[in-house]
Amino acid sequence: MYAWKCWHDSRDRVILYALASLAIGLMFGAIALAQYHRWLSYAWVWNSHVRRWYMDPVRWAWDWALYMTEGSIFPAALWVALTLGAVSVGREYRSGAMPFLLTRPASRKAFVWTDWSLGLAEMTVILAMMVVGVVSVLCRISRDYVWLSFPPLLGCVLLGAALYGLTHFTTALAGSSMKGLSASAAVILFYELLPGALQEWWRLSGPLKLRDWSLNLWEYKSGVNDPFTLHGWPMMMWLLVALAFPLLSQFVLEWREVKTSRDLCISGHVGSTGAIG
Amino acid sequence: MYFWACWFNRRYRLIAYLALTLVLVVLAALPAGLEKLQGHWTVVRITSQEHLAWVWNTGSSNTVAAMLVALVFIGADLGALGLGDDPERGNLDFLLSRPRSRAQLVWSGWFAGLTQLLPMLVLPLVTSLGVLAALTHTMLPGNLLRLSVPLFAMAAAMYTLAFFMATVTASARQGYELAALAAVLFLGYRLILSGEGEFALWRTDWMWECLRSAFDWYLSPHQVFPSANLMFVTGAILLLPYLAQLSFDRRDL
Repeated sequence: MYAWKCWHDSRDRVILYALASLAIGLMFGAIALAQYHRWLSYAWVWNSHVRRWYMDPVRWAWDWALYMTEGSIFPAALWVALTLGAVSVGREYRSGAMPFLLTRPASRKAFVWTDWSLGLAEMTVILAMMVVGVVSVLCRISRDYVWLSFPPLLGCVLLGAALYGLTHFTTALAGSSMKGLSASAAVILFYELLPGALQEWWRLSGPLKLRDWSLNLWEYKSGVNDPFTLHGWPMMMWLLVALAFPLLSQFVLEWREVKTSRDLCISGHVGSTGAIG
Repeated sequence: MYFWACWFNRRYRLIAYLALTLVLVVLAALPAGLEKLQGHWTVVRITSQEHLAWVWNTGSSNTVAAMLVALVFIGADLGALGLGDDPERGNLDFLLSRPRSRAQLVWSGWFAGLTQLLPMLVLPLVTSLGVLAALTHTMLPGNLLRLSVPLFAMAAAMYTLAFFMATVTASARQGYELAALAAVLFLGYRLILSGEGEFALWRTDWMWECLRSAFDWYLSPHQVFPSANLMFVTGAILLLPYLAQLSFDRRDL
């Protein structure tokens, strides 16, 4: 039942984002298709002579489309993770629905995991729509390279799951969607910008290396000597982070007191505006 | 007084933000006056006037970059928590029962947030000046003070945008999201116009340059008239609360 409530609360947003994601994917597919037709004429001339290498306009079109998709799906994952995480179970405290929810015959753990799973599924659908848009257009040329679109999608879903979990957790911790969103945005901003600043100001390269390694999710060539480019480890790390956050949210919800509106009045939460004259 | 209630309600948040900004500014300003010798950081030995100017310029530039990120974030947060937070907390019914007009509530809420941004600007700036002066035993505050005007304009613009969005949607969260979306679309529009970035939106160097180039708009020689861009932003900052007031005046509770 709680899953239905979560879906009811977020469905407008999910449908809007999914449609926008599909539209972006179709647009990238159409751009790559136009490029393919341009390259096709060059390729015919180029490949008509003996060369060291031959142009493959199909592969180029796929690479071009996925290059554009990778540039957009990352910010999309960030955006969707933040917005869906902010409407998670933690906001029920501020909206006053939590006391009612806890009268239902379900454990607090069930609320957390139901909400988290549904949000993750919604995020996956939204991100997948972008790839579906690209693939549906480029399948008109060839289906040989459809597999190329899976690593970026998987990487983005994993990273998005970690960011979604972070926002889910901060919202549960703060008991307010706005505070959760703000805290999560601050963490992401610092994770992205602080390593670069430390490198520039204090010549500390460690944090920057760690950040670059962690965001290098779909590098096909693994490093030989540099341990920071070992293939697959960033995804494993984000998977663990993604699973850790709902556990933390569960821990927070299980230990948190539920305040009714009467308690809030007594503790002065509402009374703080009582000074207004 | 709603103005003081806004200050009171956000006091802990303001203290946390101020501490955060001060730490960032010290981290940014300090390395300009230090140099690494044999693995240890030591106070730089000033050898000429040019060297002194370089230390101050580097310190000022680092400080402004750090403060821009911090202030834009803080501005968005304070703006969304302006009047937009009260409907979610159920305070609006009580607020509107007071003998005050709706317009007064909107403008008091907006002005309270704007005044809260001021210490976030002034105290870190003074700290940065203090750090650089202590390291160089000289005071050259010109650049930092000159850039503080557009810095405050950027923070105030972000604050007002978030305030407007939050008041119109009657939700702090939705206001925050919409303000962030507007900022992202604006940056994307600039990115496409300038042909930079090539969709590499996650790269730090691009983000860093883009954040710094916010000042280009104010210093650009291609303005309609001197300080036109700054005046345009100031006009937008004053117009948006008025539009928020129009929206709030017509809202049913």
